[in-house]
Amino acid sequence: MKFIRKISFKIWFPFSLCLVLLMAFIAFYYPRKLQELYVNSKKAELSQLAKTVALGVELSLSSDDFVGLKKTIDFAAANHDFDFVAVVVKDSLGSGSEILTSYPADIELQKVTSRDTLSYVYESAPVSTESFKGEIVLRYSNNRLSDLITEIERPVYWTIFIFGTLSLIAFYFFARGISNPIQNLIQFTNHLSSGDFEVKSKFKNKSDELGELADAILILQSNLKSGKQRNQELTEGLENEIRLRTVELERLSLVAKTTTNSVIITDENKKIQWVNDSLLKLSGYSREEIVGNYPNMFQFEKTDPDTLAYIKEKLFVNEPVSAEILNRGKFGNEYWLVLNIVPLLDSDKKLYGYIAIETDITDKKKYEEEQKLLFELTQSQNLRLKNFAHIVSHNLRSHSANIQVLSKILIEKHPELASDDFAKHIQTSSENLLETIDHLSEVALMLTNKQGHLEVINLSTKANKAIGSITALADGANVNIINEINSSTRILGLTAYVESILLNLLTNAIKYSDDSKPNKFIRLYEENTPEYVVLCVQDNGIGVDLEKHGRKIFGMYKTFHRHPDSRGIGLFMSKNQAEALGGNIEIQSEVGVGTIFKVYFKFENE
Amino acid sequence: MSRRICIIDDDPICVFTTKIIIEASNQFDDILIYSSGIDAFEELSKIQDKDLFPEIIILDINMPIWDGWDFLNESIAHPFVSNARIFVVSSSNDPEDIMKAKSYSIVEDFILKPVDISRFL
Repeated sequence: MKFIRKISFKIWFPFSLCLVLLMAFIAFYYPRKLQELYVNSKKAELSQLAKTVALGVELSLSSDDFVGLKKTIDFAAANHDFDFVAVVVKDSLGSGSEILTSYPADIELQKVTSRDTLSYVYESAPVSTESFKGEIVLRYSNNRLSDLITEIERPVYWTIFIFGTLSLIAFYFFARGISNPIQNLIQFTNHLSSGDFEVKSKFKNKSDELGELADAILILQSNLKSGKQRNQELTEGLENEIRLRTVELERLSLVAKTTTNSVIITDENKKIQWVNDSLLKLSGYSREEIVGNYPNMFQFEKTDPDTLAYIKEKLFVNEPVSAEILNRGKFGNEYWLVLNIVPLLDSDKKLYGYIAIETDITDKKKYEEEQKLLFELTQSQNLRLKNFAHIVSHNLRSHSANIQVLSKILIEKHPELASDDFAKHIQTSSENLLETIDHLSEVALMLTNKQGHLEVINLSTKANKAIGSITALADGANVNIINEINSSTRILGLTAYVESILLNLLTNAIKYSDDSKPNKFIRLYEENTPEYVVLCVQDNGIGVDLEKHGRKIFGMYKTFHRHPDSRGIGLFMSKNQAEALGGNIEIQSEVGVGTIFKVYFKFENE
Repeated sequence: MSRRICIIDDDPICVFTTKIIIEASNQFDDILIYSSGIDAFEELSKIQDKDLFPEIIILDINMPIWDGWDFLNESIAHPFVSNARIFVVSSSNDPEDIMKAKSYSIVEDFILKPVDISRFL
């Protein structure tokens, strides 16, 4: 079987064809050769016989020597090898022939003399009888065998042809039966090897080695198929991933390229590998000058060594670092950067490079410097103001206090001076001086003490307290005071300031109440904004002409009414106090209708 | 028993006026006057007799050598302070000074100049 399988169909078919042709040739050639050999042997045999006969015949047909001829005939008859054997006597004149004796006995002359019979003429045996003079011819035919051969020749050929054809066909199918599965296998494996895993197998289950081979190949196919499918899935996943990554990468590279920030990418030895255009613009270097160089090319003697040390320290332990640093470009231009460096680590935490993103903060730095200067200036001014406040509250005040008390004692000690205009004026002036200095120092202190330690204050409680302390005044002026402030409203402030503001606004409102109105009132309520608690103090008093006095209303020593008590310090103080608490005061007023003061306090949120 | 009062102040005008006001009140028999915190401390700490110790000390803040705070810091651990009512007086209306003065347990009150005698009588 193994041997046959080794012979491929291509060899097997010509081989079997040649075999058939050879057999046909043998079948065709051999009987003829046999016939020829047979005929020749018989000829020789007969000739020998005839010679013997002739030698014994001293030729008289009537004689007993004729026995020899008889024997020949008998021999022929006994052998059955001849169609016929006849002794023909030919007339010497050639005028006729006559069968002398024959086998079979009743043979016709015509058959004996027909062309296709073989004859042997013993010419040296002349016949001489009285009646007949001629020659004796021994004629015979072995047509029997020839005919036999001729007779069986055709069926033999047919048989050979049919047999050969059948055997060819059989061979073909046989070969096919062997080679087809192999062919199939070959074809199948060819398909598989060309990557077509979907091909249907044509094998039928066979229990021989071929079947096992086929089974093995089928298993291989299914393995390949699932492998291919998995491969395909993996490939698709990978392709998808690659596509996403590519998009992301493109976007990132677009960002890196087009960002106004400078971007530097280095290898693990800080050797620059890539920079974006922003850096080129900022530094003035060309890409060729930068790539392959090291970032310290941008540093110079004014770059803070402590910052550099800090960066180095952080990068040494592979930590990201952010720092502000002064760099210098190609043409000596100095610029401040916020430098963000991130070490690039692979999945094994192994360093493979750094990426640095730099933001130009030169303008910001400049602005910061200016701000710093401004701040220092403000601070020094504030300090001077504080000194001024100190001078006012200590030095000036001590002198004026002395003058005031001296003048007072002087008049007490010398009662006759009490009626003296000079003494009286000195005393009044000294008292006014002391009061003015007190106000001045208070305001100066307020301004220097802005937004100090603010405390949480319940506005409604303070309002009630203020209302309580001026009840007598309000009752005297017949003014009704309504407190509508939410009892839970809390603000950030200083108790002294808040009380002072409330008291000042309330006394103001009572002072400038309109006696011509029957229901004089003061209403306190809230009108809050997201950032402020707005205390509103509304009255229906005489009002103030804001167009005329609006700008000066919160100024020092401004009064707009000929009221006996108005000295114009209250609103100035209140405004300063509100501002010191981080708020403000506004006024809305209409002459004859009334006034609303709005005080902005800081919300207390927590 | 004679009532004694003590003024510690370097401003002669202030001492002069305060003295007049105290004398005018007719409440005190004896007025001790020191122009520096250190003088006052040294002299006051010498007084052994409890009855001779001033009933009231009027202490100015701004003084050379030892200012009012120095005097308070030194006196706080000294037994004599328990015998006296200490009033800090100053021409300064600086809230910081006022708060600081009130933070001393031995200080009874802060009085803004000019001195009003009714505050400690």
